[in-house]
Amino acid sequence: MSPSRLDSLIARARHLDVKPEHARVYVADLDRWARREAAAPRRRWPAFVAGFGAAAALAALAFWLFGPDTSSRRSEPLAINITALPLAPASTALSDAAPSNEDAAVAPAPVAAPSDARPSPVHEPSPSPSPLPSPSHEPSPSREHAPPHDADVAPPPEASGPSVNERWRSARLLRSQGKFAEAIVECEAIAETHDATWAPIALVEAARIELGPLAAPERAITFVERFEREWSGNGLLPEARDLRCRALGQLGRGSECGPGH
Amino acid sequence: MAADGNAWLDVARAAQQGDRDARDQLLRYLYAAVRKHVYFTIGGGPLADDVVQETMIAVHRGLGSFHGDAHPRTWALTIATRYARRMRAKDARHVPVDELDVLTFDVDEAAAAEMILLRRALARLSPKKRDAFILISLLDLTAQEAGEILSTFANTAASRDRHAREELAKYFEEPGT
Repeated sequence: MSPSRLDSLIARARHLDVKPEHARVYVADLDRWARREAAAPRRRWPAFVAGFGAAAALAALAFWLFGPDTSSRRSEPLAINITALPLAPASTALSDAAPSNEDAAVAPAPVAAPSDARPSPVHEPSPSPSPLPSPSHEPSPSREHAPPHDADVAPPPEASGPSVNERWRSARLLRSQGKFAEAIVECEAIAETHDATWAPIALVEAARIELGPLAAPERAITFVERFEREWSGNGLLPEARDLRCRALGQLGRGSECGPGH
Repeated sequence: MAADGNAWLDVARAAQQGDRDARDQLLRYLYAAVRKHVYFTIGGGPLADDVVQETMIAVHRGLGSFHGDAHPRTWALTIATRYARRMRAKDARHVPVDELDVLTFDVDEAAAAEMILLRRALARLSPKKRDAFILISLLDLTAQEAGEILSTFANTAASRDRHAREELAKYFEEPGT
């Protein structure tokens, strides 16, 4: 190759562009995600405050039980003091509380609490709260500007296990760590929820992983077929079909790829 | 470039004043620029997806407070450059994926193959030279804009771009490339 070849590569690179449809879908997803995020913090604060309070109470209890000088504590009925403090008048509380060292021991507890409380879910910037399905999904322009009342915008219901959103984060994390098999397990779990937003995305993602890093086109086709069965009206259908065609191509069955298949 | 810059600044202002069409148009434009930049900077694959995603989220969040001191694309690429560096540092074991996603980019197979070739050549450059070359030679930014993005002087950015070109030219002269 010669420098002129480099110039031609540069010229080609300058003309490289993203597909307009892909950009449109991506921005619509971004918008949807932003609405979801805007709704989320209101729900997080009460949980955070409750968690902080519980952690502080636990830390105080642990400090009292296992902290220094427990023998003197046993000799004096501290428990009575504690229960009496909120009820007693201010002067009584002071007279009860001031002389003994138990209260001094109890007092620092709330300061120690934040380390246990780990408020990271609220303050961490966000690789996590950004479950934007990377390239594309649900090109539904009519819903693009819809008010946040539909199932897409509402957060997943509180459940005992991880939410769909958390599972999607986990799948993305695993995928980025190169743990593709584990990522697919998460995607399958998401697909099982039949969540209208995330289940189709997870199936396409699983197909993409199978086709790409795992180089397993047969299994990719299985995911695409499941997608077509369960989410035939979804906006990701063209992408799923494209993945199917690529998988068939890898298997040397490219002729089976067509609108009828 | 200046006219183009002013036009996009107008779009950004309209977006800030609540024009949804303008905002979507601007985000699509910035997304295309960021996606292309990230491909040449760190390749494809999940890491690149994450960088694009983080960048676009930051752009979406920051659009309201965008002052218009720079071209919107310069602003978005500054964010993308920062995230790309951070991600690369965080994931030291990252193996670059050179594959160009044909679902994302508007290319035929021949062009995709050439871009992969270029991407592999870029991976041989030092990060500083590569970043300057991508911004100036591939994304057609001015040396001044590239300097702003890379937090350096315009002359330095231009110099890095020139050195990168020379190295790439030598690389492509080698037999077998």
